[in-house]
Amino acid sequence: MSCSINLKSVSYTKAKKEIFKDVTLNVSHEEKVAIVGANGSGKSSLLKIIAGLIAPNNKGVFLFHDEMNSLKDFKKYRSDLGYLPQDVSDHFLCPTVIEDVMFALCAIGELKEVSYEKACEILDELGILHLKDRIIYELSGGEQKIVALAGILITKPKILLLDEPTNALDEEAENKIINILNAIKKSMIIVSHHKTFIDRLAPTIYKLNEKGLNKLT
Amino acid sequence: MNRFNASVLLICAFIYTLFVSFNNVEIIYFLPVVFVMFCEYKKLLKIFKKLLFLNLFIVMIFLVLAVQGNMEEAITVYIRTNMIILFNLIVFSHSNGFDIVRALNELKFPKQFVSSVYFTLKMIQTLTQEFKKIKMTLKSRGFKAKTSLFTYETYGNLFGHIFVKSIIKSNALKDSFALRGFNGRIYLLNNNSLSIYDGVLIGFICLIALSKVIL
Repeated sequence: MSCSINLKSVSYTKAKKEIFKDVTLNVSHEEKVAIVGANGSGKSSLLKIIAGLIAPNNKGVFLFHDEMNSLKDFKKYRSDLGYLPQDVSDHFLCPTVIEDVMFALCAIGELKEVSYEKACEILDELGILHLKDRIIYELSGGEQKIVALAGILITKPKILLLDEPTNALDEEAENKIINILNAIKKSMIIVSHHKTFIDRLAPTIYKLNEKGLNKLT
Repeated sequence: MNRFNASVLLICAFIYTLFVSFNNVEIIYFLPVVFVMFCEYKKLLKIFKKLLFLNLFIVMIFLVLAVQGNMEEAITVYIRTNMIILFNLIVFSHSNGFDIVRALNELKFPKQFVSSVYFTLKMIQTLTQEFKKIKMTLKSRGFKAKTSLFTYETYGNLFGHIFVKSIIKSNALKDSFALRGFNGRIYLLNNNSLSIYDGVLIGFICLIALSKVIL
């Protein structure tokens, strides 16, 4: 099975404090991996390193067997990486749901009409087509998460990086997101505190601490 | 004002403001104001309350001019300013800001300008929410503003907190730009439909323009 993501002895320091070191991880094609850990253990930072938003201390990040020597190297894999931030309000770039979902396609030069149709399709698949003309900032937290997910999925990324996707959601919204994510056949790295959520989604769980990643299951 | 097209409102507000600013007040200038007041009669009380608050500042200008002996000019400035503000308050009473961005986009303003206005609005909205959250936190934690050093320190911390938050939010937005392939423009769907209300408002504005050309 080919590997989508390889991390080889990656370490990260922030404000002169070593957050983690010697992190090694392999994520195969369509494999779902969860990362748990204490607050401040660097889970979100690790996800940002894989997304190419921050640089680790050393090299050692490989995407599709290609080593990322600098943040610029991530550019060619940008459309293959779908990153859902912890606070999804940071993710939105357009006022209404439909405009935000179709944004990524328009940005790569797709016609507005085609982008609109594809956005409608993805919203329909996720069961939120009725929200398409709503202003994003007026939606609930759960609805915003699903809209953000739609905005990511529209470009058909090969890898999904999800930072606390069910953070501050009620049980119903959490179940909806679990069902959506379970139906997606892609490589996935999920960072979450919710044990029940992780158990229902990812067969492989790692715990992150300052010494590295330990496989739990 | 949902029954109006945002582009029409933006253009009408601009032209109306220009005419009222540079001409003597005439009865015909009241027509668009009366029309939009009629369309928005349910929100009038709220709008007049806002106008009353803004009059605190307009009255100052009026008083300064009156004290200088320009009573006639003071009255003209007072009426003109109130007419312009009232018209704009009514036509944009439903606006959440984003429809103005949409209008700018429809009116073919430069893409970078539209994006800049949009992200400025987004940031203002985010920081306003943040400010409200902090205010609620202060309230829930039993803070009462007094004339003490502690109060000033708290307010200093509050503004410092918002400043830091704005930097964090800006960085998060920069990350989103990188992740989502932002290339300097946002893509908005245009609403080209015009309603009968748009037609009537345009009619009144054209009537004012014609009256100035003919008379």
